[in-house]
Amino acid sequence: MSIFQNKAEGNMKKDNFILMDNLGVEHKNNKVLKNINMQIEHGEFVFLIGKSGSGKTTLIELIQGRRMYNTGSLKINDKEVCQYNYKELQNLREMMGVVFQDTRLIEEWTVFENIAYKLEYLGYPSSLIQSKVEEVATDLKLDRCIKNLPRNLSGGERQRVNIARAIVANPPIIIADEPTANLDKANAKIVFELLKKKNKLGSTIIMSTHDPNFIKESEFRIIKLIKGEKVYDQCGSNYFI
Amino acid sequence: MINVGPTILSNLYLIRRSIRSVYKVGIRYVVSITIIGILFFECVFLQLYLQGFIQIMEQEIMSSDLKSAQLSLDGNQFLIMQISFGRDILSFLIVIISIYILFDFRNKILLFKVIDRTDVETKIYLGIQPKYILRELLLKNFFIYIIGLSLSYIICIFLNMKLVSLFNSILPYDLQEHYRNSIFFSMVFFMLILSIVLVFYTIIIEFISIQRFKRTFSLY
Repeated sequence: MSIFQNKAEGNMKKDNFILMDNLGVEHKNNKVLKNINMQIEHGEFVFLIGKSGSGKTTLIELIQGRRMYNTGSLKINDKEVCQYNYKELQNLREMMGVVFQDTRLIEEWTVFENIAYKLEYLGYPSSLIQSKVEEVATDLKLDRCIKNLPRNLSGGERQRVNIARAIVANPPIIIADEPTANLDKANAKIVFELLKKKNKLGSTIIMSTHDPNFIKESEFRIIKLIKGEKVYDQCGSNYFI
Repeated sequence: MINVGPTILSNLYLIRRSIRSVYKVGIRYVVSITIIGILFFECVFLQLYLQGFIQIMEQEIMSSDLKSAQLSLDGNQFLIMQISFGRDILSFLIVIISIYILFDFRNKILLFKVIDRTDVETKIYLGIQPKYILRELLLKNFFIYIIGLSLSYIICIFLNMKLVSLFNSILPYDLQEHYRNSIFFSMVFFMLILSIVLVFYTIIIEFISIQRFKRTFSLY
């Protein structure tokens, strides 16, 4: 059971959890996102696909509150993100598990410390932190390098630590920006299965990817972006037909 | 039931992690202060030894004939020169190393210089509150100061006591008891002054750093 449950129940609506209306982002007179309209419901698994530079990462950063939009509206829990005050934004981020595209591990901490950080911050007892970190490390085959520093890890291991850090606290929302990018097929499958498991337990997953295999195998919602515009938004593997 | 948000327990984790992460910068800090302490000790020692030595020579001259006094003076003149030269060099080194420490301290330890902007942003995006991150950084520095200062204080005094006995066994004349006490007390006094100066310097610059941190990361 997620430790965020009490807070999440209070803060989250079951429907229209994320609502975008004519959302647009400009950067140096270049339209990065154009008139995006969509809604993501609580508990959904959404694939964001598209070529590099299509706006996937920008969309993810908007949902995280990492950047602001220029036009339109983005509501999370029925409130405009640009109207969130400092504390509300912090609370929103507390409930998100973020898988960064560039891993962003804390280099001076061991793998264990990187994964355990959020749990420590949330006030878990140490025995529970130990068991939760071990569990997720075993799931992601990180148990052998749990005491290593990030600089001694391979690209794939770094990516798996990045994923472990995002999911260890069972957050209600998991935002993963190309989580399988540096992974071989077997490890990518493990990660995908783990995200599916989290989704079954109730987490909303927003995952950007280039990998068509997972999309083919699943019946989840696919949103495709081309040059900042939404060109496809449907459930299932009809995309490949 | 587990609370959501920073709790007393999470603050304990913070302290534990801070203590664990200070050793790298802390060792640098301890070594620098210990070097200054030892140099200062040697400076005081040489100065007092010179005084004691001259006093002994004066007594010898008074109690002997002019010829043997002249011989003793000629024989020890080179030693006196060496001691005073050594003392001057050490004083110069103390000034240079003190300046180095202050700059090193500012560049390697002080809060705003050691903040890795990417790390702070990452932690904020992971849902950690900036005030918790700030507390984490300040605690880390706090332990560097406390552990660093206390440790270098103890090491300096211990080493200097050993050095007094060593020098006494090597040098031609024993240093008298009251000189040894003077060395010890001036040593303690010097380290105390050094600590106070560093603490004030730190408080002022950390205060400025905290304001900068708040300005930079309040928008996140």
